[in-house]
Amino acid sequence: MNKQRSFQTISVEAPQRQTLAQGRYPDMVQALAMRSSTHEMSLFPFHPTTIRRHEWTLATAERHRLPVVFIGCAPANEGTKVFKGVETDWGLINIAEDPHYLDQDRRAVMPLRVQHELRTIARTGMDFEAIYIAHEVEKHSLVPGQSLTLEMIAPPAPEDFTKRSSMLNVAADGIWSGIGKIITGTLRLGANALSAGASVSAGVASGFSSSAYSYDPIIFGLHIDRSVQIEGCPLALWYYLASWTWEA
Amino acid sequence: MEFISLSQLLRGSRVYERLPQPLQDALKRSVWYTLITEIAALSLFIFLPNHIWWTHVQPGGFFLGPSVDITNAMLDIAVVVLPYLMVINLFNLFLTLSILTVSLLLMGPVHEPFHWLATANALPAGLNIVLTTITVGFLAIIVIINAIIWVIIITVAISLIFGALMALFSSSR
Repeated sequence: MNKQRSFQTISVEAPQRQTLAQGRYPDMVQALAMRSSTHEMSLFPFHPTTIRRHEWTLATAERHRLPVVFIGCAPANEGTKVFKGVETDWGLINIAEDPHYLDQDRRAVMPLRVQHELRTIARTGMDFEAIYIAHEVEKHSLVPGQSLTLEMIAPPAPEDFTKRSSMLNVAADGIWSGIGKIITGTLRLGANALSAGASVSAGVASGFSSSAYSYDPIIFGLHIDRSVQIEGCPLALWYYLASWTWEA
Repeated sequence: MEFISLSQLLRGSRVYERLPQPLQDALKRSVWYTLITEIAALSLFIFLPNHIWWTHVQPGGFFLGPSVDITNAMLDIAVVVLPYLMVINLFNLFLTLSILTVSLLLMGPVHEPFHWLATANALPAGLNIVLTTITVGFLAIIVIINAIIWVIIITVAISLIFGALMALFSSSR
């Protein structure tokens, strides 16, 4: 804690936000209501190391044309932080507390494209001390003080895999139905000498249930400054890293 | 408060498109049917006395005329095919047990190759059943045809004997 320290001024301009006007992301940024201008950032007594890291991050992102965008500064919240969007609401949570992350044995699940994007970011030497994830949820399904649950954010089964699995399911069903027909047909030839007891009944199983509407998770990277605490939470610089829809 | 860094996150990340899924109902049934078929086939092969496989029907007994040759030819083919079929069954049983182990007795999700394997797994078992059924079915047909012929022969013989006796009895009166 070093609140008596002199204020630092960040001289780096925040990159353009217009590049991220995809999906429902602008609603999220609006809802987060973070301070992003250089002027407002100067109100916070960030440690010089944090500022140097911030400058390096932005310079590296620009040099490598990475999709990393500085959003602003806000405390790294504990638990779920609820934001009201226009058509949907958002639950922002530390990935270490994310119900889906915990359900998957502390492994994050993301589309291959997103994994490649994040690996590209990491390959430049860029790292973030904390990762937060914003989950888009149905309007009014989450109230402030309530925690995100697995049911709210669990992704649907992968569509392509589900289609192939259903096809294999039907194929297996067909194989056994065919065997059943051959057996019963052969036994009928035996002039009812043997009873047809080996008929195979196998109905076509229904496919995986998959939600008709898929919500967009957004991943944020944070540079944490533990020297500044706001209501018990360390202050952080927030960066957009990636977003996706589960149907993608 | 615990934080996960980007590098830590990537070290343990999973690809959504390759996320394991549970086997669907018909595939689950298929795996169980396959297991039962394999165990039944291998049990018969192991526990039935060895000489049964080399049994041939003899002419002049129950089997009449060309049915002797047909039956013996089918038994010969079965004896030749059987060892190969059992090797395939043994390998397939190993695959079935692997699927059951990996999927925690079909209760848990598995990666896509196991979905394909569970489908392909049904083919040797199905082939086994079909070949066995066709062989047993044709043998049963031959037995039934022979039985019918014998019933006809016996009925005709009894009728002739009965008719002769009746004729003998009526002429003596």
